[in-house]
Amino acid sequence: MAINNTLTLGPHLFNWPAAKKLDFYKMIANEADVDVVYVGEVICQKRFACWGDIYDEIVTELLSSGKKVIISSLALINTAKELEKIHQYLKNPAVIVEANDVSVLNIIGNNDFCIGPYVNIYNEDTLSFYANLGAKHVTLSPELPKDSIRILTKNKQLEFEYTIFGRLPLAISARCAHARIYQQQKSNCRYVCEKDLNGLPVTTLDQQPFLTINGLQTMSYTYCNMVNEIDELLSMGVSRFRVSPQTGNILDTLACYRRVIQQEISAEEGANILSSLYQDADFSNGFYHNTSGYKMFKNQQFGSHQ
Amino acid sequence: MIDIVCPAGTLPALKAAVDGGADTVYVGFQNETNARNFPGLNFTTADLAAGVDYAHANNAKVYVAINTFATAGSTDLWKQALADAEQLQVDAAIIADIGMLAYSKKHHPKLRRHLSVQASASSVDAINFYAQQFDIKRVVLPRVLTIKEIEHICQNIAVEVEIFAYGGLCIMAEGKCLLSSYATGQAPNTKGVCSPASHVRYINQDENLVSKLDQFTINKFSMDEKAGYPTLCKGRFNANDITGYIFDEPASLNIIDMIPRLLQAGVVALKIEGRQRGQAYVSKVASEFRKAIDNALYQETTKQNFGDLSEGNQSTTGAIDRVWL
Repeated sequence: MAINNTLTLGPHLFNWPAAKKLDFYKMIANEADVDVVYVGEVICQKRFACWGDIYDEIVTELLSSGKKVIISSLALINTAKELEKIHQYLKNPAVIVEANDVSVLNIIGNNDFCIGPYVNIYNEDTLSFYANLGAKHVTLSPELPKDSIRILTKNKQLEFEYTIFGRLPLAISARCAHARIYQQQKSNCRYVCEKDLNGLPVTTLDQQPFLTINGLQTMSYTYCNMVNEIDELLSMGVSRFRVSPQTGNILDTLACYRRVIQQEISAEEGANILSSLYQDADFSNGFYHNTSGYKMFKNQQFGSHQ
Repeated sequence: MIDIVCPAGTLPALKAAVDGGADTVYVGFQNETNARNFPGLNFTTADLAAGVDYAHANNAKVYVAINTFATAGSTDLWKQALADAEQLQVDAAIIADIGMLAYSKKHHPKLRRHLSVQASASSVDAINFYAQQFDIKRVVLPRVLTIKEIEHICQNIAVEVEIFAYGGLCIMAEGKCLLSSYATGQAPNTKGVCSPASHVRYINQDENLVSKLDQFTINKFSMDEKAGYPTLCKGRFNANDITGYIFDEPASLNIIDMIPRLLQAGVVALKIEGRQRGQAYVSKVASEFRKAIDNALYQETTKQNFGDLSEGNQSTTGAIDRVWL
C-alpha cells in the first residue's frame, strides 16, 4: 500500500565551509532518496558571506536532480537586508519560500509559501489564519504535544510537516553565545561557529550534557528521533516528515526513515539502524509526549540521560 | 510625552502604582493566559473591575496582558479573557497569539490591541504585517534592539512604540524560546512560566549551594556569593573548556540614559518589567524614571527656550548601547 507522504531534508543549520556544503548538497542531489530539500541560512545574517556564490549553485543543482527546493528564511529578522535572498527567490517560479519569521509574510505578495517551525502555531485559530493567508503547508513546532497535533491536523486546507530527526532548535537570540564562548563579540566574531560542524555542546557544572550552541541559536543536546511515532503521526494526517541534517551518514538516515514511513521495515528495526548510525547520540521525543523535551518515552516508560 | 507603564501583580500593588504616579499599570488574570502565571499573583475579574475603577478615577490606564499562546482545544480560556477585558473596560489588551489577535479583531473590535513583546516583532516588516492584519495600535519591542534600530523602526511604522525600560530581560528572542519546556516540560509560551519554582531545588554540596532545575544543575554558589534564581539561560555552564555565564551575566535592563534619544525617536511609553516584584520596587523604579523623563523634557524645553544659548549645552546623557552583541 502506497502511503501518501513526503520526506524532506530540513535546512542545514551549521556553519560549514562553503566547499563542504556544496559537496554535501551535490551528494544529496545525486544520491539521496528525499523529495524536498530546504536550502537557506536560518541562523545568522553574517553567515551569508560564508555561502557566497554557492547558495544559487546549490539550488540549481538540486532542481536539476528533480528534487523540490524550498528557500528557508532566517528565524530572527531585524532589518530589510536580511530578506534579500527571499526577495531574490520570490521571483523564481521553480521554488517556494519558507517563512521562519513573520517579517517574510509582509513581502510575500501573491507568491506561494509555507510556514516554518520557528513561527508560532499553537492552536486552531492561528492555523486557520495562516491557511486562509494561503500557506501551502506548515512545519509544526517541535514543542507541540501530540494532543495539539491531533487537533491541528483536523484542518484539511493545508498539509502538515513534522521534524522526526535531529537536534531541535530551542531558542534564538540577537546575541551570539558562540562568539562569547570563544571570547569574541558578534560584531567581530571571526566566524568561530565554523569550528563546530555539529554545534558546540554545553554541559552543566556537573558535566551533564545539556544544550548545543550553534551561532545565535541554542539547540537541544539530544537528537530528536520520532521513529516510534511515525505510525501515529501518519494516522493523525501528518504527511510530510523532516530530517534535520547533523554530521553523520545522512543518506542512510534518510533511507531508514523512508523505509519506516513506507512500512517496509518496522519502527523497531528503524530504531536499531538509527542507534548504530548515531552511536554517541542521546535520542529524545519528550515534547510530543507532553513532557520535558530531553526525555525519551518508550513503551510507557520515560528514560532520561545522565 | 512618555508614559510610564508599571507592573501590578495584585490589586494593592495597582493602587500603590497609581498613587505613586504611574500613567498606566498592566496586569494579568489568574491563569495561563499571561506570561507571569505564578501562584499568589494576578487578578480575578472582581479585582480587575475594582482596579479599573480606581485607575480611571485617578486618570490612569489599565492594560491586561493576554500574551501567551492559546493551547489547541482550550482556546476558550483566552477568548474568555479577551471578553472579560473588554467588558471591564480596560484600556488595552496586550496580545501575542495571532489566532487571538484575529479573534479579538473580529469579536471585540473595540478592544484596543497592543502587540506583546512575545510576538517577537523585531522588524519594520513584521510590525507592519501585524498592524495591517490585526489593527494593532502599539507594539512592545523586543529587548535586544539597539537605539539605532529603535529609531529606524519608529520612523517606518505607523503604530505607537513602547519599549522595556527596566527590569529582568530575556536573552533569547521572546515568544520563540523552548528552553524551559525542554528542561522541565513547563513552557512560557503556553503555561506562562519559565524555569518554574515548582521545578527548582537548592542543595548544599560541600561548601557550595547548588541551584537545580529538575535534574540539571544551573549554578553553584560559594559561601560568599549571593545565590541567584536558576533561570536556565542565566546559569553557569561548561563549553569548549571554559566555565561561566556562557549566555550572559545576570543583569537588569536599564535604559534611563537613553531617554532623551527615545523621546526624540517618538517612543510613547516605557515599560517596567516585574509583575512578580514588590510595591517598593515598582514605586522606586517608577519615580526614578518619572524624574528622568521630566528632566529630559525640561532640558528639551530649556534647549528650545534658550535658542542660541543652548548650543554649547550638551543635553544628551549619552545614548550608549549596552555592548552585549
